[in-house]
Formats: sequence, C-alpha cells, structure tokens
Amino acid sequence: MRPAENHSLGVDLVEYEKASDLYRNHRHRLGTFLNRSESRYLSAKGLPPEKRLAEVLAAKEALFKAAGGSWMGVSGFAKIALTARGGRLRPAGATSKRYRFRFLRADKYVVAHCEKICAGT
Amino acid sequence: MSNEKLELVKQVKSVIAQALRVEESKIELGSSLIKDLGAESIDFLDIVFRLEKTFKIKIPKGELFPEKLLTDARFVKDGRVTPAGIEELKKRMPDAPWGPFSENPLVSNLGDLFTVGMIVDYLSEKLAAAQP
Repeated sequence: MRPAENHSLGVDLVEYEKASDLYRNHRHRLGTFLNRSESRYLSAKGLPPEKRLAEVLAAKEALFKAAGGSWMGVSGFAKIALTARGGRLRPAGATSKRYRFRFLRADKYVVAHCEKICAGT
Repeated sequence: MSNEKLELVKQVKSVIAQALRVEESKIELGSSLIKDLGAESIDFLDIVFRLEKTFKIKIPKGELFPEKLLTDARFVKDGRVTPAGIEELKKRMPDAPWGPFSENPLVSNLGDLFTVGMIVDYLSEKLAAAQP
C-alpha cells in the first residue's frame, strides 16, 4: 500500500461571473499575477478570455492547495506559475511532473482538480 | 474620528461593497472580509486593484495582507502560526479580532483576521506617508 502522504489533492471552484468582473474591471492589471504563458492562454481561441481566466485562477488555487499551502493570499496567484502546452494548463517548471489538473466546466463555474502524481500511477 | 478618516471609511466600504456585492450598510469596521462578508481568494485581487484605482496608489504584494510573513519558517510551523508569528502579526494588525485565532492559530484561519478596519488603517498610514 502506498503511504498516505504521497497523495495530495487540491480542488477549487471559480464562478465565471467573478472572473468576468475581474477581467472586465482590471484587465490591464492581470499581468501582476499572470505570467506570459498564462496571459497567452487567455487570448487563445475556443473559449472567451473570462472563462479561461476562471480556469487559470482555479488551477492556481487547486495547485496551491495540493502542494499543502494554507493561505493563498494575493501573492499566491503570482507565485503559482502555470504553463499552457498544447492548449492545456499544466503546472510550470519542476512541479509539472508532480501534479496534474482536471477541469470540470459547468455553465456558471469551473472546478479545477489538482492531484499529486505518485510513482507507479 | 476626523472628517478625513470618515471619508476614508466611506470610500473603503464602497470599494468592498462593489467587490463583494454586499450592501454598504452591512459593512462594519470590524467585519471580517471572509467570515462576515464572504470574500474568496480572487476577491482579494479585486479589492486590491479597486483600492489602487480609487486611491491612486500602488499596493505592493504582501503589504496590505501580510502573506510574506507566512513564508518565514520562524513564524509558521506545521500549518500553524507560531507565538513569534502571532506577535509579529499583532504589530501589523493590532485591532484584529485576535481572541479565537490565538486559541487555534491555523494559517488557514488567518483570513478571518482581515477586517475592513485593517484596510482603513493601512490606507490611512499609506496615504499620510504619501502626503508631501
């Protein structure tokens, strides 16, 4: 049996309406907590940027929780870095091999599910 | 309270009411942003950006909400704020409702200490320092 401490999970839900307000009211300030790859992800085709922003925010917080963080704060959104490869969000850097995302996209919100990848899974 | 401070309180309440979509009349200086007004993580981004816009200031990361302190091993251990951390936080937020938090100082409960009054106090100092 695998030791329990090898498993960790973070889940976060972001309402599209909230992300939409943030995008509409502070679009020019998003660069304070989004890196280039995350910003590019927002402007990719297929989904409106507001919905993509909701995904990015939910993913960052889910990763933060899965990594054992206790208080996200404002800085946490800048510190947790993602990358968008092949149109999919992943943790950036070394964490990309340790965590993976799944998204549940509903009408009014997105749920990001971040799971630590254990050896052998 | 001076007229200047009353105006500041009014503006802060207005910013919070807009960001959190709550009625201004329900916002008190002692209201906890999370516990009483239902703020979530992304609301803190919204609040900071709105404050910057309203007061034409720049709020560096970790200055308003003392999150940098939480990355210091002296102040946080095993998900709990250490006594040294509590002392440090009390210097930053002397008027916060410390009672329940001091009894169970989980970092995850830290947000309960962030009150409207804390924002007013921060801005009061920040704006005073910016005056020539």
